[in-house]
Amino acid sequence: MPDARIITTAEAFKDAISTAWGPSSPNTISRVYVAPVSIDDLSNLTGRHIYVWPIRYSDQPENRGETRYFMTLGVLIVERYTTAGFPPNAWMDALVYFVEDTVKPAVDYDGAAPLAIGTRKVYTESVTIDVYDAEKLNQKNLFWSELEVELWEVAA
Amino acid sequence: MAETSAVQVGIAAAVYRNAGSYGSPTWTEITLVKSVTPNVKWNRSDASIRATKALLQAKTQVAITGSIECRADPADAGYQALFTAAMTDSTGAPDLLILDGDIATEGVKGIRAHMNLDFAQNHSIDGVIYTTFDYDPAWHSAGYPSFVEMGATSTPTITAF
Repeated sequence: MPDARIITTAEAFKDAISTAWGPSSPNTISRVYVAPVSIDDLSNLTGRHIYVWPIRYSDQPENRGETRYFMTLGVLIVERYTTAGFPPNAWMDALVYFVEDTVKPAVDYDGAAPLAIGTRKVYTESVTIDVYDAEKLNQKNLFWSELEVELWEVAA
Repeated sequence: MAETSAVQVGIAAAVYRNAGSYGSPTWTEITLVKSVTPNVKWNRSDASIRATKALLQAKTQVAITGSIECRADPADAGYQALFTAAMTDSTGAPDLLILDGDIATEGVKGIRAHMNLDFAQNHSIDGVIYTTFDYDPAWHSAGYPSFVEMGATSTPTITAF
């Protein structure tokens, strides 16, 4: 059974981030259906983790022979500050920069460089970034940044 | 088979190019077409007479114009045919069949002519590139512009203007 369009997209999307980042243990990246949304599960977290999941999709006629597909994917970047005390600005700054410098370019497929999935070409419509979650930072020393990425493609 | 009453929708309309001869056409749909705006507009000349105070007009010539909006795609043979025709003179005018439905649907109507094509694109940073091909009929020794109505078994009735 072939995978749905949004799943193959999410998988390629995850691979693109992985290539840009190159995680090694204990850092991980994975495609999931349920991201670790409970901060209670993350009290002993070590390393940096990225999760990718499908959110929604729709389509509309593009022309008489093709359809334009819209797909929205979610990305979570999470890491716990394991040193005693409250996370300093420098630690947070480095992670904010990681999202801007490594993750966002890896999911921002403009016209010159679309995400290629076989013969498919997927483009990014927009990337919305929640820089961090103040509550999770305050309560659990967690860097928690979520991205919502809108993608589109035209296909027969 | 009798025609069936139904709403006609734009996405079901079709533009075909003739890949065969004029007398034995092979109609191939150009599937990357998005929108077409066919127009048939008659010129008129005064035909008034003293028997009536009404101004009378007689149709004289007919202007067949319109535009075809088609997604630009270098790998698509239909788009390539339109592009080539737009870049060359009237000797390269393609034989087009512009219908308000599928060629296999009885009662579908449209225009057949060798068309001169003009070319316009919008390279907006946030858009997919479509080409607008404005058209009007070209002279061609094989035949003159006609209006068409599809009959049963995809057999058209073709009537010259």
